[in-house]
Amino acid sequence: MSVSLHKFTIAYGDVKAVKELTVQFPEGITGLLGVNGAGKSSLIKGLLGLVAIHSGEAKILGRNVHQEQKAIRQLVGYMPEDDCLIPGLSGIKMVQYAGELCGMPRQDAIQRAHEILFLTGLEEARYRKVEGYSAGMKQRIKLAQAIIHDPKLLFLDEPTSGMDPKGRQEMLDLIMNVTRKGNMSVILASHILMDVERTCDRVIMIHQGELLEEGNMEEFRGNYANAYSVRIEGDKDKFVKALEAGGCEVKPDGSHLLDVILPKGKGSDLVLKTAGKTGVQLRRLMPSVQTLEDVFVKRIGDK
Amino acid sequence: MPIYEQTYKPWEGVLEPRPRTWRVIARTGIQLLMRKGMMVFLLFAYFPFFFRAVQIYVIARFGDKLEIVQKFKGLKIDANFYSDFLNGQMFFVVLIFVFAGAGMIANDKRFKALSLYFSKPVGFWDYVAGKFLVLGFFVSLITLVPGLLLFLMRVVLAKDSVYIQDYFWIPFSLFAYTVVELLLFGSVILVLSATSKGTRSAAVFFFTLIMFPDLIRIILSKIPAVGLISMTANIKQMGSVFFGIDRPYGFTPIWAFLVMAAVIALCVLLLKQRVKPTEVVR
Repeated sequence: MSVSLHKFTIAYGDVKAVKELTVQFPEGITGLLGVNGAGKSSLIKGLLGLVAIHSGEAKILGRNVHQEQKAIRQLVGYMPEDDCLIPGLSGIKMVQYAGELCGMPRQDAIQRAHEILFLTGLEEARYRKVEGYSAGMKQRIKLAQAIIHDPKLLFLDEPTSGMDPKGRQEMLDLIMNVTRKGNMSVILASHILMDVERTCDRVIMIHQGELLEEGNMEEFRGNYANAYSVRIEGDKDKFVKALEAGGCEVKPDGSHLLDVILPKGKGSDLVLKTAGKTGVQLRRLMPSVQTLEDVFVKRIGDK
Repeated sequence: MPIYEQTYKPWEGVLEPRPRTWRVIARTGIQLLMRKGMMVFLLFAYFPFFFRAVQIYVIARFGDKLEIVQKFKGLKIDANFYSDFLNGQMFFVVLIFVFAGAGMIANDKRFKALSLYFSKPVGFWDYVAGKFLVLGFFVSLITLVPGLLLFLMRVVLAKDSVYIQDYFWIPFSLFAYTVVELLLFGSVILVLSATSKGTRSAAVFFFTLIMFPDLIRIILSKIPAVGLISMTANIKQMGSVFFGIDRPYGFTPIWAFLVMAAVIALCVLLLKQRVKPTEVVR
């Protein structure tokens, strides 16, 4: 396990941003999903000791966050959401500085800073002051400073925020490359579902500081795989009622279209039979592909 | 021709188990300020040193035979000489704190750099010590270092060992004076830098805190205790203890010490509150 939490709570005064969260982040890339204000950033900041922990226990790479804060921070990398920069420094100097702060020998930090900036596509801009970087370059330099010391675990807080589609694509490729080649675990906090869906092996959804759902990406899709898009001609209400009586979950989608989720163990023949019984013509019956977004929207809606 | 793959390569080195991050912060801070033209400023701050070095040379070489030396009757290279030198350098010291200190934390806060620092193995004391060391380096360069050079020069030019026997403690006094000056001015400017909205307002506040109480002290000079509100007066009063010379002000040095200790303690408390990686808006 890269991170395990037990009744972990972060509070700002009376407001609890993370409420008694008990969850485990395995090795690999885990997406931390939630709407804005769900508590994703607070959770990461709490784990790194950037905000005070209200109560509960947490272990990062087997170390207790209450007792071994500095040792943990040496082993992990953190890419914050905000435009955090060290003013006055050039790109190369900032990344080298980050490495030295983590305990890298000076010469190694200099050499590695060049390598990492080359990897992140900032080799041309490495001698420019970081204040003058564009939004995309700032995201890249933040990633570079987080990975210079080859951390075992990487916290990425909204890594693609403010980037154009091409830049986003490149950033996600970079994250996957770093994870794969560096044998690094990643916790990627985002509200952009496509990013999480593309990069993560596992997803943990939080909402209002509480755990909403967790599982592998495949499990997520599997849970909702028994869904069909149905187009009918006839008495829609009668058909819907009959389906619901059969244990289906039905969501009308326009005047003739329905999204039908079948109960576990049932096949599409249930829809056919119901149509026959209610005298409704079936014009289309096709399995609908559930995206993470569908699952997320549904779970948030349920909540 | 070799083909290089643009891919991530793990680093094979070993991290220092307990990195001395304060040292890294200090070194980088010094390099940054040097690039901002601090060298030119330091050259200006060395004018008094050159003047006093000439004084030492002339007095040591010609004694009181020379006409110009006779004009400055009573000019001796004693403890007062070094104390006066440091008191005179205070002007440049204040400018250093304004130039180098005002933006030290303010800029980090403006660019949200604190969360970067504190996501590394950097603690509050590492961060503050690093910043203090930057200030300490530049302050020492214009107080302690030239003071020691003047002392060495006088020792080297002396014809016998009487001078060093009489004044062997001067280096310690120079050091103590510099430390007190650094701790008091340094903690005040760092707090202002951490609490102000920008570099400029921190600099203005600092100047006000130096000048305004001093003005009141001068206006109410008949009441000696008023001198305690002035930072410069407190430092000079403590300096008189270090150099074993007459007290320049009417209040006791113990009170000066207590006032300075209280100000420094208050500043540390405020710094603890203000130097946080995340601003929590309630």
